[in-house]
Amino acid sequence: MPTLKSISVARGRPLPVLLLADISGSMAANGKIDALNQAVSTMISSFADEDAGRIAIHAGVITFGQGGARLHHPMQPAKALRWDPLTALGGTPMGAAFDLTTSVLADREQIAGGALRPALVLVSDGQPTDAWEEPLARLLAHERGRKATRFAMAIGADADRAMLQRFLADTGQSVFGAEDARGIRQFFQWVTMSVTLRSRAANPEADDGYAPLPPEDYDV
Amino acid sequence: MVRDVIGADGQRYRLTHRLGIGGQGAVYAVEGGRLAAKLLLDRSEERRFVLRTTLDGVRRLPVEDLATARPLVVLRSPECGYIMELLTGMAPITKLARPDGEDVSDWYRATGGLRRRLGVLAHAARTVHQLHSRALAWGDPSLNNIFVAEDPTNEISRLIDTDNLRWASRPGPSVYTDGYGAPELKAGRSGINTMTDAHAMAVIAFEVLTLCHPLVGDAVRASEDEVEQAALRGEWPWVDDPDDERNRCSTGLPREAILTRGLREVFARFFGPGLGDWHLRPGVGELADALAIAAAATVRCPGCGATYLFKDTLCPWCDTARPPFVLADVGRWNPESQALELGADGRPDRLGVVAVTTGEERAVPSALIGAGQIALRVDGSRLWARGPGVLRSPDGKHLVEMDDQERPLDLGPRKRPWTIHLGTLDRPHRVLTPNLHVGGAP
Ligand SMILES: Nc1ncnc2c1ncn2[C@@H]1O[C@H](COP(=O)(O)OP(=O)(O)O)[C@@H](O)[C@H]1O
Ligand SMILES: [Zn+2]
Repeated sequence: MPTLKSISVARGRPLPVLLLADISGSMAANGKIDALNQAVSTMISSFADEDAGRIAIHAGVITFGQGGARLHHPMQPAKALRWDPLTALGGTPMGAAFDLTTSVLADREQIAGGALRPALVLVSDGQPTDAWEEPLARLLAHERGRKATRFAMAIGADADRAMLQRFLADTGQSVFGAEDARGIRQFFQWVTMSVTLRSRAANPEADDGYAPLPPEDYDV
Repeated sequence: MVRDVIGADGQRYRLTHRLGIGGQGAVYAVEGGRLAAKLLLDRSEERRFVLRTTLDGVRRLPVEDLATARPLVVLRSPECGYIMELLTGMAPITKLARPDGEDVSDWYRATGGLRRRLGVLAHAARTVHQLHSRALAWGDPSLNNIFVAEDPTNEISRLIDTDNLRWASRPGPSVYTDGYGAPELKAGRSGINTMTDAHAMAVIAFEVLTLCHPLVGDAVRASEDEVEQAALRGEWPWVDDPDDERNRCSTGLPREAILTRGLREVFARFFGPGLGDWHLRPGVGELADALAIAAAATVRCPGCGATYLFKDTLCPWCDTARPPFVLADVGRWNPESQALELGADGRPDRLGVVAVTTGEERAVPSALIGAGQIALRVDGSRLWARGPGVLRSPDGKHLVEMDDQERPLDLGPRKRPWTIHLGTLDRPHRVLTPNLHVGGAP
């Protein structure tokens, strides 16, 4: 006789989104870190709500600030992620963050074999305080890093736009500039929209779902 | 963000908040709490023209009585969109297909269990069938586009996204949701039509019932996305293919526990021969019938309150013994022999059954008896029946006209029952023969 007392279910194919968040001391100014926390937490809950298709959005967060680069949230289904807010302190160890990113991308425990091309989202408001060029080259040489959809946001005038543009490399995208909380929110709305549309696309590997949100549709 | 839009009727509609974003636009609640507005992202002249002509056509369609949130008013430029009925107290059927929380078994039951899933799916499939019988294709059946009540005892459904509705014979832009598009649609060999709708509805039904996509088994899931794309194009066997085990699905609910033989056969035709050749695919009406007939074959467990197919002697959810129940066999009356039509085995031919446990009223599905509405209720060994039928005593000597008033029929283990007839004895009609089962196997 069949039993229905314990049932396991398969989840959708993972679409991994990895956030690289600058939590250097300067992020504490002008409420930037609060705006970032708010926007990222909204983005993750939108991803969690997006579960009607055959794809499940996964999210992970790497921070870089005091003490180097840390895996703040390992890659996991957005539905399961309980967002732990970030606090800003320390320098901008960009190189360490790139290397940690490469190792997360390579980790089959965090990103399973059948996962879709990841999306990488880099957010920074300052100049790197460590050597970053070689770590970035390593990241972009890794298959998953090279193929990743990439988004970058420069917060404020002190951000290293040239470095952020190098991270975007040949994706055809440009760095999103944000001056304040509103800009930070807009950037994450745009990332949310792009990732969500890609997760619904008939061929998410071919189509990167890039679609700018019309200004009038921003919730501001 | 409050914004006003103007309809083609000259009315001003105030949008209060956004309800959701879709692939083609965003949906907003309209002040007043009864209407919603869909605004398309693409506001080009071309898109507006296509929308206006489609909606003008759709609004004139004879679909008022259908369970859909259909377009009511087209919006004036510069907007590109329309006003529709707001669905309140409802949510996408996704809620019945994607477990949340730890225990899937508990979640499945708390969201209405097997009987409700069969019921809402039958209702949605019936609505799609009604569109099809008016030569209309819905276009984009998906988990997001079928709304069900938040109340887990309610079995109604509503279809949204009706702006893709089109005359079945006329091709148009093929908007579909990945995972639900038929292979011929995905391969670009066909546009939207009633048979692509039927495929999508079958995928939705299989997924909501079993929590497993019929084309994505263990091996396909573990491979690269290209493999999954190929499976969705029909290049792999389906998960329950009788002869090819490559795409077996080890997760979800065991099919033999929740699908009747009728449903298993319908699914086998959809995803076996019908996958690559739509001529061999059942229509959505057949799916609706199989779902309704399966729903009628469920009993409710007195131990845990869940529902399961009456053939199990123990509740598969909690092991409580099956309660006493009445099984009404649906047969056919032969006016010549003045008896039930017999099957090949010499016993009365059975089109289906209705299982009734004490304390609940069950409607006999129209898939089994046609238009008449017969309701059955059990109280110990007494069956109560109401509706437009005729009661006939076992010896045929007594006939009692039925109506909306409940009539009692006393049943017993070795007692030939009265039968319920849905027509007069000089013509062929359907007959319900109720039998009491006191625990044990039927
Ligand atoms: N009539 C309605 N009542 C309530 N919510 C609706 C209604 N229509 C759509 N929605 C909500 O808006 C979302 C997007 O609508 P949908 O028509 O599916 O857009 P798209 O076709 O662009 O994907 C839906 O998922 C649903 O949550
Ligand atoms: Zn039980």
